[in-house]
Amino acid sequence: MKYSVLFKSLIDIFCFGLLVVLSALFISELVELYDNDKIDISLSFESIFNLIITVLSMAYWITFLRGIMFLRRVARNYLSRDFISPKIVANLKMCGKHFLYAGGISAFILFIVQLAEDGFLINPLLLIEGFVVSPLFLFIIGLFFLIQCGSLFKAIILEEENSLTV
Amino acid sequence: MGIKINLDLMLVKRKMRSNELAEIIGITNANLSILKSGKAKAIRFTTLDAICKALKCQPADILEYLDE
Repeated sequence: MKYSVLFKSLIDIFCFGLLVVLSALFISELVELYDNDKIDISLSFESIFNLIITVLSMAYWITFLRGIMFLRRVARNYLSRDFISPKIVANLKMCGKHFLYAGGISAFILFIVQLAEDGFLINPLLLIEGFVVSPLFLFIIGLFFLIQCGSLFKAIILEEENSLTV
Repeated sequence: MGIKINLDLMLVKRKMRSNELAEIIGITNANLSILKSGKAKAIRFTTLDAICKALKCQPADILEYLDE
């Protein structure tokens, strides 16, 4: 039980900490965007590339945060001593899928950034992404959750069979 | 599943009530009800043995295979 409490607390801290940092970064990006001197409305390669990277980064963070939210729901189920239930299986599955998608988007972003190889791209979101969460780690975690979800599903079937054995 | 449980029929034949049988064979009324309604996924040999002993019958009198 104490591990479940610790698990839930750590996820809460991580989740809300990340939300605060990301909100601050997006607000600072928006402030920069609305600063008239810095608006780049030209159709140059750099501006389009920056726009694509920003959109992909946002997609990445939204997917990653959704994955974390599903993990939070799993932690909540564990706290209510609901260890083997279809709800946990569904949430773990969604969490694993979101981490896999986030890993895929992250790998794609890193790949196209490597392709660009110029130093014109200054995106603080990408910097955090590169240092904190690597695509490989996300793939591993995502697959682990999907495997766990499969085993839990089998456990639910076994438990049901066991309870219906007279 | 093509297995039909004829426990009700045997209980009528032996003029025994469900709760009496449950008490004799040592299972709960809820579990006996699961067995009678055909919701059970499996039956232990010990339970089958106890039922056959209590109702003085053969397993085939209780279990019937239906080709669906």
